[in-house]
Amino acid sequence: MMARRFAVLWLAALLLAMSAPLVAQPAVSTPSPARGPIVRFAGQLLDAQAGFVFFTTGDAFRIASGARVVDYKTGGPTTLLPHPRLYASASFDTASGEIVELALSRSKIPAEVSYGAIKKFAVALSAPVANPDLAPKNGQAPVIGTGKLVLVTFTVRVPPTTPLNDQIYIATDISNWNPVAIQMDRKDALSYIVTQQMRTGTKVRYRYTRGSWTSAERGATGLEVPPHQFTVGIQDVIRRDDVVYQWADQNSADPGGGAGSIPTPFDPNPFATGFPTRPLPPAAPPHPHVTSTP
Amino acid sequence: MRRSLFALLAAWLALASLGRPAQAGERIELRGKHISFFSDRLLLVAQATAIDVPGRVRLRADEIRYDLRNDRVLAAGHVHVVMHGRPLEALAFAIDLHSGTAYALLTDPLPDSLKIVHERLSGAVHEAPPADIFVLSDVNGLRPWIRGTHASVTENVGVTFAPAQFPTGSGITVPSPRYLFVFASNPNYANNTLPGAAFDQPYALATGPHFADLAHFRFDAQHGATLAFDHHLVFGENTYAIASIAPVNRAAKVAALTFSQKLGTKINQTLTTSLSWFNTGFNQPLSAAQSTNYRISKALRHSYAQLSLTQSNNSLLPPPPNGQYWGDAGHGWDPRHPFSADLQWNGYDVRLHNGFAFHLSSAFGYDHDAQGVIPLANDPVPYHTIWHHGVGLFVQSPLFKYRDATFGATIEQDEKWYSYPHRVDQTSLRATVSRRLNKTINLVGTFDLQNQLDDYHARQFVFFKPPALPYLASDGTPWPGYLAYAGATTQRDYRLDAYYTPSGYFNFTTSFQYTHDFPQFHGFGRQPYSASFDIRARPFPNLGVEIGRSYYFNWNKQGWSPQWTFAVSP
Repeated sequence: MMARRFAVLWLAALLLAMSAPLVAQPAVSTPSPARGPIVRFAGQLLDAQAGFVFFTTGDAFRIASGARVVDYKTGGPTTLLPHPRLYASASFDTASGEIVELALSRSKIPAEVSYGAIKKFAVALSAPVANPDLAPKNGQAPVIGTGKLVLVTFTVRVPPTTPLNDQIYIATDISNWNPVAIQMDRKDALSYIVTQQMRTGTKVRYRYTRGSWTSAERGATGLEVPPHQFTVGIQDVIRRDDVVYQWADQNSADPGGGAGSIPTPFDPNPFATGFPTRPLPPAAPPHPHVTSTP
Repeated sequence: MRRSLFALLAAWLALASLGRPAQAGERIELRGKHISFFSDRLLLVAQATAIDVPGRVRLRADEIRYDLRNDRVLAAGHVHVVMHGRPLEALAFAIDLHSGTAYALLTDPLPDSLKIVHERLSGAVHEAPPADIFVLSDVNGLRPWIRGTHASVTENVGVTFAPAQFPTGSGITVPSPRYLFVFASNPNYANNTLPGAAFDQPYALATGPHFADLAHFRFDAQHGATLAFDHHLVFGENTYAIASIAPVNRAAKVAALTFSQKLGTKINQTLTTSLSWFNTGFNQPLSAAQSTNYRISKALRHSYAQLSLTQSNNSLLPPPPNGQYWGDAGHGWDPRHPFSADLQWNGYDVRLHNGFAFHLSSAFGYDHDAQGVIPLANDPVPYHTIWHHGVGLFVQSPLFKYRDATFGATIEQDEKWYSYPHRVDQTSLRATVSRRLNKTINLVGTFDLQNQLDDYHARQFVFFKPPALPYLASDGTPWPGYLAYAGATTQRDYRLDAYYTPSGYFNFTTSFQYTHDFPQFHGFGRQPYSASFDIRARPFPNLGVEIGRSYYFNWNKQGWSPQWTFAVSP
């Protein structure tokens, strides 16, 4: 009796062990009515037309007659129809190379097998080359638009002439070149820092300002410089270290600029020979001395 | 006055006729049931949509994606293409608008693909597309910055939504009849000559391949809510011109024209002319002044030089009947036409082995005025031309670290001498200590000292009133301390900033500042004590909000600052 029970248990354990590989490999199973093993590939749809499913790889796959279209999450019937932007998990009959089931979802579906496993079933094959129009230009990194959020830390060293109470901002082309788009925090004597979250694939061009375009950065030569730029890659953290040599509204090449270089409340523009490009601050108390130049 | 306006207008027309830039763009119309704009991707995603690239391609499809940065359009689902008048039905279609290369996926009846070069369907060949040409970037779960049903794209410049809706994430959308987003890699389509403002919202009036007309709704403490306009002309990467007028709805207005051109990698010239006047409605102006500045900068091996020429006309109006002012005394008539020339040299930073750095600067030039540079009240001798020269030295210390704290200091000393007995001595000293308490809190303490001395030698009390005379402040209060002010000004700042940044989505900053200036008197000058806070948060991925305010501790009967800082950004 004892030996028979042991034999049954042993047999059950053996069967369980034999079935384990099937459980561990969910991508391969044998549902009917397929003639061969099933391979499931998940990807983004371009469309389904004339008995073919097109993925965004540009390749087409034949749909088997009687193939089911189901909801990915429930496995049951769905009101969704294959169309661009949807994600699909396609069950391929490896014997025929046809899709026997298409499970649709509005959100991304985790990969089960690589594209290489089903590419052989494609009716129209895309070339395994990257689009030359999107090839990296000017030494830039290629665009990788996975959408993952990446921490980007900007650190800038400003010129010592930066007024103590002024704020430093970053103007970018992804914020309409608004000169106060991203405000930075003071880090130490001459450095400001800010951390932003950006998505991979984002190409950023930016320039530092003190709150307006009349106080935007200039290069070491005193000339306007092209905007800084980079592409958010797939790293977890990106660090950008920049230097602002001058501000457009400051003329560091004018030593001892007596002409109002320290505007006081008593005489905000004591040597007003410059042209009035900006209105003066509100009226100050009457000046006891005669304003003049030099 | 009228002649100056005509001169400005003529200059502008001359600039506008210079021709098209190298990187010309086109206006592309996108209409759809839903159009979403993702600003971080510079991507337009539209459903049930049509796009028209005038004279080149018209597309109708279930979904169209327009990658504004790379100038690519991808259409998928029942695509109807008309290319130079010839139709094509496709399942998907991708075109690079820059090169004119396109790929189409067909089912006719078996799947097939076409490559179309230079937008010519007649020359299309059967060729497999590159593997990534039809990839739709994943925007699921992302909230767009703008939604609309009609987007007008000026290639490489900007996109205008009319109307536009800004989804906030709380179910509320903020509508706008029109909104321009400038995504040009060249910021000259957006930069402007307007002074800084607490709030400045540009609004598109018109955009084109090489121009942008913007209205600016602005707010600042001095003028309140104002309206400004600017017009940008951009000639490629190296040349631009900006015309602006602000504030349109105030009596005191300034019109400015700026032209900037890079003549090479090391030389740049800028011409700025501005006209400022005071009038209400169409009445005769009570004051008008004009000035023109030409500046040319040249990069040298380890320094750069700059020549600056400025001609000003302090009044464009004829002499008033009373010889002093038009209207009221606030609009004094000034017959002077000063001219100044400056040749400046500025060295780059020189790094020393011990971590210190310094740079030198110098200037040489003159001021000229046929009426006399110095008013006759100060010196009866007419000085028509006064020369000046100056030197400057800037020294920066290395950053010293002690435990968790970092110390640094800079000092700058400038001297300027005039051919008239006058010398200006200026000193700036700044010392900073910063300490990061933990990953989220950073403290920065700063001491800043600025001192300026105007030394007129024996004539000091001609320019600065003798202390023997009493002086009253403008509110009638005796101001004995001011009598000591005889040419030397000192400003001292003691400031502590604390930054709390727990994540990239939230930041809280608080500052306390004590100023000790000379001269400084009750209600006038900078407030001795002030505290401020600033909160920046990003409640939704596509929306950043900032709010802040200062407190003045009853200086000049002011508690809280009159204005809040408030900003919204994508």
